[in-house]
Amino acid sequence: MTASIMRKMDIPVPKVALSSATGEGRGGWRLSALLVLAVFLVGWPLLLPNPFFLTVGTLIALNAIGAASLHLIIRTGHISLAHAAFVGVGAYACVLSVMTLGLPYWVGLLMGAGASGSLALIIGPIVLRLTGKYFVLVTFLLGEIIRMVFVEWVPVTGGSNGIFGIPTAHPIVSTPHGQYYFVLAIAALCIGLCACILSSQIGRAMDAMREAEQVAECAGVPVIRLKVTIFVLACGLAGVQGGLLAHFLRYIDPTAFGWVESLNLVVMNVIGGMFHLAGPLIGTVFLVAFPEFLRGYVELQRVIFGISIIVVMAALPGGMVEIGARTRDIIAGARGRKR
Amino acid sequence: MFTSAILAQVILNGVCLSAIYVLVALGFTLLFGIMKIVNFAHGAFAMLGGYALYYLYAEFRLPYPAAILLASVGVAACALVLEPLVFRWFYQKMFQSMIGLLGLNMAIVFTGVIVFDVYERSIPPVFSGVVRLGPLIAPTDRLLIVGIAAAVLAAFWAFMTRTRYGLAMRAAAQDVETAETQGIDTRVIYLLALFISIFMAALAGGIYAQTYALSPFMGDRPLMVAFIVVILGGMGSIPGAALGGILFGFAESFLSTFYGSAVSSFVSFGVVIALLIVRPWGLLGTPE
Amino acid sequence: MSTLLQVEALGRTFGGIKAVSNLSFSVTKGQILGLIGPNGAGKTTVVNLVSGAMTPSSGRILFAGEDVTRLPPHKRARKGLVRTFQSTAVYSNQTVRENAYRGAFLKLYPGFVAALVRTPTARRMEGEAAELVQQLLEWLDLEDVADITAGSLPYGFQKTLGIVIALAAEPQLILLDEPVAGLSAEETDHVRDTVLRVRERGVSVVVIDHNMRFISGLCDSVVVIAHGQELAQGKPQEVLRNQAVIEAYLGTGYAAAHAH
Repeated sequence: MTASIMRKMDIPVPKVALSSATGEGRGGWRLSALLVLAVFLVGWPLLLPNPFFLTVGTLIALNAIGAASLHLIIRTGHISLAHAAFVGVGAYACVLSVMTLGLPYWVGLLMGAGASGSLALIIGPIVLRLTGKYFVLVTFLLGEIIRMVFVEWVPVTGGSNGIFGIPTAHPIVSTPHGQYYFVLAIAALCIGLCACILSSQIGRAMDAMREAEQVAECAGVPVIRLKVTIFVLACGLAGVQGGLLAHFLRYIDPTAFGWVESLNLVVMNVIGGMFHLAGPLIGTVFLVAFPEFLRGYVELQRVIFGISIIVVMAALPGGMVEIGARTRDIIAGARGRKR
Repeated sequence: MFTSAILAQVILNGVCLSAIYVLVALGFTLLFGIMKIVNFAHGAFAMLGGYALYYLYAEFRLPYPAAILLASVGVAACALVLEPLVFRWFYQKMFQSMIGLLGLNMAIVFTGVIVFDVYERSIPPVFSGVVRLGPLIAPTDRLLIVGIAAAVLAAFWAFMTRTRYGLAMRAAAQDVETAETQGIDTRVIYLLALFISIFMAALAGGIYAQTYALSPFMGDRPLMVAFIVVILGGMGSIPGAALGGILFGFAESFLSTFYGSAVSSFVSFGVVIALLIVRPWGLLGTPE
Repeated sequence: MSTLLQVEALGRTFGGIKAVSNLSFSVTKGQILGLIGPNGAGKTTVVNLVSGAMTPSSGRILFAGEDVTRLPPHKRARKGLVRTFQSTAVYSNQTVRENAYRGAFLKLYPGFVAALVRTPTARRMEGEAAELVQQLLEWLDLEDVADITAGSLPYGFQKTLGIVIALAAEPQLILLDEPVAGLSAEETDHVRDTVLRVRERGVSVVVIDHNMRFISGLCDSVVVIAHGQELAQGKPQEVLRNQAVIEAYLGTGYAAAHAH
């Protein structure tokens, strides 16, 4: 079937083009946007050195690592409700390396990433063969089992009391400014890694696997192997978040790594947009910052927040990135009409 | 340890738990099967049912049967009010429904915190006596609860198998599009499913509140169990949800009495995981 | 005339039901083989077994001399054995060009780390793949619609796109799974021409379908199956006159009435 044959048969050749998922041709626009963002992220604490804002900013950067790494898993077509549990694994592994084994902080962070990644490597090949809702449930249960291990394995994890008195990563990063920039730098590296993966041929293969797994497999994509690789990497990054988080909060609460927190990471992705890296980043800001800035009673805050989630999901089923896509289409449509 | 008295207790406890879990799971699976929504607010409605019962029975002193019935109907009516505002936007959209209804859950729970405050309450028992059935010493209250749950479940079963609307709902739970082409009015079915589903959740919440305690966050656990039970039984499968609820209830009763709640959770979750790896479509679901 | 694909005594049972049993055939380089049978004959199972979506209960599959019986689909693609799909055959939300790129995975992907870092090898491969995609699109006259979303194209287009995706893997043999199901007569003829042009490129083809006219007008050799077993094998003309084949397709009444 070709265009010329279609014309012969008087079938109208469709003219609607769709901007491709790999975003060719928008590189220049993107680079300047990233630059502006970078300047903003580095610059605002110098203009507004408010410790509260800095804490919120640090928390946003921390959660962004988790949301972005979960995004990698989602792009392969799986939704994991165990991601917060992997953050927890990384947190405990890092803290125990530093406090019990006396290792330097960097090694601790690596141990955290390694522990989460190793666990992912063990369960990945089994669990990633499941599709859709079954994967969701199994990760949900696994996350709960891991959380129960945190609470029950008292000699190692301190049980439900958690671990207190965790030292900061380094004397330099013990001020709110220091913490923020430190976390921001590592978060930028982690998210940058995610961006590199997604914009490379790996990302193309991931999207192909998600959209039509059998077609992709028959084109040579090693589906299970790639899913496991991405899963291990993503959980490793979650472990990094864990290590950073523990030394930022200076305590570990074992109940902070359950299915509710994993679901939060999923919400950040769905509400921001599941199929573009900007999605989880927008979602993280929304989910972490929004409640903090609703002044007033804490409970009312949460009620309003819950309602706003309903509204966003109802109005923008594709997530908040839709706002970007829709405005682009409107602009393109307006430009088109001008000619 | 395994005396007949204790075993009898475990069984009765299992029946109670199963009743709660089956009520919650049936509603959850109905909403998923027919409208493809994952109702993360299900626990919140159970919680509302608990508070409604508390106010009607303990505060306004209505006779118990009226109180529990009115409480459940009232909460189900609230859900109908919320239908055009919330639920309708998410029909047949699984992921969007998950997140949107999670937002609803948050809104309801924290409204509950504002209105009811955080402290736990308990509902006074209806009867304070006990009944002796052979080796079993059962609080009359418990038997009453089991009786009510059984009656509601029997009514549900009768409705689903004997009435026109019930059969229409089962057809829709299997395949909504085909049901539509058969001339079934999906608007009515959706509203009916929502009403029945939330009615049962609210009833379960009332029972839960009577058996344990009442707080705005009590819905989390029933929600989690509903989620597990429904997937265990096969999503969208009504008999599967019932079977899953019974298995889970008895397993939990047995394991937590003899081995503690941690072991109970570990084992049940582990078994469900193993089952899902081997048989992902659940006990009674259909492989796709 | 070297044998490219050799299927020996292939069998697959599903809990007591023999979907396929004792099926043997071979495909030589440059040949177009047809696999035909009425609906429910087991054709889909055969495609799945040969492409690697399913493992056989018995029998062997040899490709270019190697035993690929237990190889997963992506490894068979590496060896040069690919397939198209009857439904969900294309990436509906992507442009035609992107669809082709996704088919060219083997030509594009230098390995995880190399792809991530974009080594010179990776860049070279990207360039070569771009050339291949461009050449394929021009060769099959899809240049005009290269930037159109695949899902918005007519069904016939999408079927051709499925073949493009398969060709982008630079295969030695393509399994076409029901390539003309749901197409008009004109579209069917166009698919026939496309398959012949594919053969001209040196690619062998196995066409699986139930449309007798299409298969006999295209294939050098035909295998007829019914109830999972071979009914006849040989040139289309011979096979069409086979009594058992006529019975299977048109019923014993027709066969008896037209027996000669």
